[in-house]
Amino acid sequence: MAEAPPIEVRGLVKRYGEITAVDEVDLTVNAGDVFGYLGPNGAGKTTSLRMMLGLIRPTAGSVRLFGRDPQLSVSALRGVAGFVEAPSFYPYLSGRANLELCAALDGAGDKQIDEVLETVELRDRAKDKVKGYSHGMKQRLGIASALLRNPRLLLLDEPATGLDPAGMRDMRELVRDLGRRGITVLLSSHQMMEVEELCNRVAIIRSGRVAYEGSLAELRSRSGISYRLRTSDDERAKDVCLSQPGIDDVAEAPSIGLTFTAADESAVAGLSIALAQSDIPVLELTPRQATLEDLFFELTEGDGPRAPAGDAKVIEKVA
Amino acid sequence: MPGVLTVYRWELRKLRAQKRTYLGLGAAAAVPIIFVVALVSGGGRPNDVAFGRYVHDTGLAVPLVLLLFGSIWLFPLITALVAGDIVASEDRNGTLKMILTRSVERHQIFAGKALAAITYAVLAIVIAGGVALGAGILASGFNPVTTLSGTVVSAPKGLGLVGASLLVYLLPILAIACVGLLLSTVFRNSGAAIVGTLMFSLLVQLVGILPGLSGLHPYLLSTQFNAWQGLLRTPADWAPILRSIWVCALYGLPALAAAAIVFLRRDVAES
Repeated sequence: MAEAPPIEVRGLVKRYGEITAVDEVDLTVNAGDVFGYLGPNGAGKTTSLRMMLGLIRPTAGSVRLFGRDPQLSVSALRGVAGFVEAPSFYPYLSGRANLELCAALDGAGDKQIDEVLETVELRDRAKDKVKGYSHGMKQRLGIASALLRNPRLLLLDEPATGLDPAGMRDMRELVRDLGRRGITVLLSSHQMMEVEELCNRVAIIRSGRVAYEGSLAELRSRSGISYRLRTSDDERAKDVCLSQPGIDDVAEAPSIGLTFTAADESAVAGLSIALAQSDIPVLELTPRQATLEDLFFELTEGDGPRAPAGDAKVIEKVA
Repeated sequence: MPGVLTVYRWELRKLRAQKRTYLGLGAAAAVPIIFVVALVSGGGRPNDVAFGRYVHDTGLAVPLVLLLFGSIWLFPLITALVAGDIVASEDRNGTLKMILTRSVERHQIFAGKALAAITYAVLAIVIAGGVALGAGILASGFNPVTTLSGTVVSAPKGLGLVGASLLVYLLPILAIACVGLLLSTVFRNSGAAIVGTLMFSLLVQLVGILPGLSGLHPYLLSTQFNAWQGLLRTPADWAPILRSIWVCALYGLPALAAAAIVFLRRDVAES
């Protein structure tokens, strides 16, 4: 029998009085995924993660980790590790003692501690009290404590937040390496570059609801390619664009000229002929692939992308 | 698999690593020493409390006098220092989410914490009693002690009675530890829980001195701090001790149960 997916979330809801923090979230993270859980601050990412780890009770819906319910017993977290918000440790204990505590509470020995300290490059500071650690060191200690559990699934809540550029680079490298080792990773983040660099699949959450779930490639293909056009007379060029079949979303962009989307390349060819026939010299006409950031803002601020193809799903337009 | 014992051991290790632990235990050791030094240098005696008049005759009277003074705020405060902090400090440090996502169940974590808080309270009483006994014997000798009934008991038997008195004294202390645990779990704030526990103890004592409420006295927690005196009568009066057992259980067990329920059911969200 096939093993249940690392994460299966169905109809997950969390309400605090009148406020709905998480609203009917469905999510499936498959084995081997490095799954980006994207959303602006306050979108409900951390609350979702807390429910996935059994720290808070859902108002409705279910979470299954490898088919097990974390609300019933902590044994559902076997093979699962991670942290929500910043990882926290006892400031009056050393980094090593904190890891010893984690290992003891996992029923594991101390054998692995040196190894994970080495992985996160904290071996030299292991004997220092955590209260003297920088934010980045605490983040790395958080990863170390997660690795002690030999996880098959890691849930990381914005692990690069608050790190300096070098720390962010190291953290990404670490997550990439974990993914290469076959560990399934759910990476909650609001940093597009991080997700774009590391993840093969994403869910984008907005106001507690999943606005998109699927692969990055599908998300990009759906949004199509936009073009930028610079001419010697952008005002007249805009009129030509607007009258041209297959050319949509024409907009003026300061310092760029005009931007538009095209149904296909023949529509762009037709536009260039029409501009020439109108005696409007073209200075620049270049395709521009939408970045994840564009798509993120489209989904979290706009009306959402057009209907999806394949397995990916735009869940709904969020009002 | 790890369980209550693992959590308990680590709670003790965490306590050993914190300064506040030594503040309470240091006070438990320092107060009897200060008391004995004052007795020796001043030469007076607290005649208005039980056994006060015998402090210069036998060192065995010193811990008994200390129990009477300590019940007002010293031992409740020392107990509250850890019981009120042991859950709330996890909220303050944000570490509850860390320990709850390892491989021990919530009820095991709660049990380990409750045991550690109780251990600390017991240790404080043992230290205070032991130091008072040692300092008292050094100052006044290991001599027979006169009971509340006026009979004189030998020093070794008196020592046994002092030990038994400390045990009986632990009953209301444990009830206060349970109240501290409840407030620590509910308030999620160490300061509020520690002060709240001490306030609870002082309020119960206040009720004890209000006129017109004498019918309540046998059932007040503050009264149970005197139950050990039943042992120092000839023959021993077991009635206050038996009452202390169930009265303290009546205060402590519901508080402990409520703390456990809150801890097991609470959402671990932002502190």
